[in-house]
Amino acid sequence: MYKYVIKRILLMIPILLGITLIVFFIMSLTPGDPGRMILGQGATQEAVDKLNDEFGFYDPLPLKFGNYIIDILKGDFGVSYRTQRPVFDDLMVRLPTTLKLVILSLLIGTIIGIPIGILSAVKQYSALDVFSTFFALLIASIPTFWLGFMLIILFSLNLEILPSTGLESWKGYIMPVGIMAIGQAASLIRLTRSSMLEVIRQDYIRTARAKGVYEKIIVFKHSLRNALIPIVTVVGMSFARGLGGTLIIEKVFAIQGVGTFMFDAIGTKDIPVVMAGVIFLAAIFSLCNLIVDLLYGYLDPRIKAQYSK
Amino acid sequence: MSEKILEIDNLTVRYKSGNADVHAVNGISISLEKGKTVGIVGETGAGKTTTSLSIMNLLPERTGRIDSGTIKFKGKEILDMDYETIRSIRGKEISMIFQDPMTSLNPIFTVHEQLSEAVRMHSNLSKEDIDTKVKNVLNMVGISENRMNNFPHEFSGGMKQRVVIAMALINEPELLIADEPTTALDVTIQAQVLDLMKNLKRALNTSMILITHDLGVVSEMCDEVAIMYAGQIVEYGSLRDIYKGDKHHPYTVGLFGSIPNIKDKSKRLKPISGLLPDPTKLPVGCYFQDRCPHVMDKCRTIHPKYYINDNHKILCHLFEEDKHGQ
Repeated sequence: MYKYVIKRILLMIPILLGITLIVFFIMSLTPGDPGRMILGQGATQEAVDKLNDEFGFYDPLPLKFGNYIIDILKGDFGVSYRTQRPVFDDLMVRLPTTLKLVILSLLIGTIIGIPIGILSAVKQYSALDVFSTFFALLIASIPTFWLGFMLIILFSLNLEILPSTGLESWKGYIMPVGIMAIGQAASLIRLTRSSMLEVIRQDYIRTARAKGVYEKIIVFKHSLRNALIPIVTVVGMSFARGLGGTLIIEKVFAIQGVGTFMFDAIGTKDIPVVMAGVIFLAAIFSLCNLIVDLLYGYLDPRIKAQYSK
Repeated sequence: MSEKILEIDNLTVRYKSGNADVHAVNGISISLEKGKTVGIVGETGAGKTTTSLSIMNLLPERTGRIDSGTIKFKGKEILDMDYETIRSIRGKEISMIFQDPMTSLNPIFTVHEQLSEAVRMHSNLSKEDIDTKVKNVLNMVGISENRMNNFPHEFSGGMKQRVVIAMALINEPELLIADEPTTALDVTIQAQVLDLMKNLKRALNTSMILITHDLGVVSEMCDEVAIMYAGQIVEYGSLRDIYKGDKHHPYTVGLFGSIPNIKDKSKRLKPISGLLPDPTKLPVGCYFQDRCPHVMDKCRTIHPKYYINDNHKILCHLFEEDKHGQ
């Protein structure tokens, strides 16, 4: 098991290196140079050239890539062209905000979604099942930004009880977290329901009933753990995706998170920020994948047995 | 006469499938004395498994429905029991061995967890006592106790079936329903499992319902035999009635004709031609009419009644002149 974890962590190195390489070369194909970006259109060509020289902009590409990798290994992700501040520091300022949004919404969404999904499956075709399936489909069909604007109109403009922007007070979290959580819950309701329905039909559930196991134990012990595998996958991937992509919510509510940070960097061709963002997301995705895979092993001994091979 | 442990009377079960009703079991009656074994024989789809699930009230909730009939276990009506009563009987007084050992065990729990759970659901024994019980029952079915913390996927098919049997026996049930316990196993393992069940039956004086389509197994294990066809018992009798008697339902004759005979090399097998009738549209008259070599005009219009001779019953027009039944 430990061997497997170490192997997987070591495997992350070539993956991250490969991603860095690809993104680095794509970015170097785009026009523009750091000197002009930093100094602006009004600066003289001499000043721009001088700055470009300092950045190593005229070095051959392999050398530039090599230097970049060495810098990263030292923990230096370069300086943002736009803010003139170290990229890593900027990212770390934004990260807690996004983390809070993602973790809170995921937690709430999971706490709502999984139990309703279980109930829906256990009481298939009941009023609750019909209602929650309809609700899940409805939420899944509503675009996030539209829901965001509608809620802002309702709660901020008309009722004036919630702020429309920012996260200065706890009230600011209600709408953005609520919208993300409800979307998460909707997708988890559908997933949990179908996964549970599949497990409940299995022969071993009938075996459990035949030996007199209480219905509650059948649902929560025998069925749920078997049904959790696809659910764990989706929650894990939602977390990874959330860290890079709460962009729409951040834009709608003017929140300074990782999503906005990267989006603005792409718009202004702030290459060091884009690079750092991509590497960061790649690392998060690989880590989440690893954690999800380890949870598989915990949930299903057959998968665990494969890991120790 | 010893006491009746199970009396099924005129049981009718339907499944809902889309808009159609599947007539799975159409009025069967079986009664079983304590310590005896009854074999239920019939081809796939004859309603054998449905019958056995009904006894434990384990039919699929939404789709399966018991239309009429009674199932009395030790004199008490199973179909009227509340959840807790039937739950306390399942796995304790009536156990079931399922058909497919590959899918009957939960993949995420160890054999020990699954066996001890069966005990815990019905008693307040201490951890040590449960452990002893698990070890004993594993020894009984021939699985070494140092494998009890293994998961189902670490066992072979034959061993899994032993675990399933162990699970059914751990509470020493009064009635054991074995639904094709050997169908999924290869022949050598089959013999072992049958021997095992025979010994256990003797040791625990368990009554048994053995569902199979293997007439050889029936002759080894059973005291009485019910031949099922399209949800009805077409012939019922003692082992002697079925294997030696001179009057048989044409379907029973067909079943025996379908068994390869080593001594009789020159002849081909005589399979019963045709298929079971569509259970959503059962024919008027006898359900076996389309496949019966002795079919008469009235078979197409009138449903036959049982010919009854002591304990031997045949559902066929051929014998109606001899003695009228119910």
